[in-house]
Amino acid sequence: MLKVKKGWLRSLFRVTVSGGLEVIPITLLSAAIAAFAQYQYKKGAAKSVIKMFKDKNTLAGGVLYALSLAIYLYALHATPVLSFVYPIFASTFIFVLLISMFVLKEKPSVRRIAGILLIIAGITLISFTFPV
Amino acid sequence: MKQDKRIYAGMLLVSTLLGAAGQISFKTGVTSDLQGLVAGVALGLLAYFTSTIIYFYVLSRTHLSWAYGFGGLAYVFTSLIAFFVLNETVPVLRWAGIGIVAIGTLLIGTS
Repeated sequence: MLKVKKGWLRSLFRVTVSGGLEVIPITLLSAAIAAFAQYQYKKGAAKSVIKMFKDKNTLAGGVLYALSLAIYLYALHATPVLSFVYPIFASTFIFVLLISMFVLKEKPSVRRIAGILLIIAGITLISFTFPV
Repeated sequence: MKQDKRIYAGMLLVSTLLGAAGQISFKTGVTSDLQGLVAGVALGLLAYFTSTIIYFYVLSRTHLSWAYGFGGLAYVFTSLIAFFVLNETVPVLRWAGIGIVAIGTLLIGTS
């Protein structure tokens, strides 16, 4: 069932988002991109601030952050319920953990894994309360 | 020293509230017209920028392990404001989910 609401943003993207459940994967995508942005920042981190700003990795991080924000705003536009969309964005922590494990080969602490499991559980609960 | 701790905690609280204000601004923006969108996003980014500056300032001044955990409160504050100010309907199950997410981020922040 597609319910096309009035909105210039929606017509701009030419996507008939019904404000349906797809807001969850869209928000997760935004969170994943934010995690990669943080990873780029970490790669670009230098001792001097000027060096950091000149670094290509930092620039890439900034671009990724902007992209992440645009997608997040799009999700929020499709489903304008902050208490639903914003906590799902906390999944950034999950993607950061995955990057640190598989790209940086770091071994996560038990406490950190426990935190991630709680975030997954919380987002799952929130998903069941989809605003209609 | 004890007084310092209280000041830092207060600053972190302000930082978190500014972050929540940024989210409220984003929502107001995306549910508005083009002018409202630009204003809402700009104001939201400004709130986030200020929030981050305060956060980094505190982190650079203190080695308190709980400072990193404050981020988790953002989800609770944002939802509380959305509920009380924006009149969002928040079912009990969602409150539970938000609380669990917040505890999870607190655990990660302090690990």
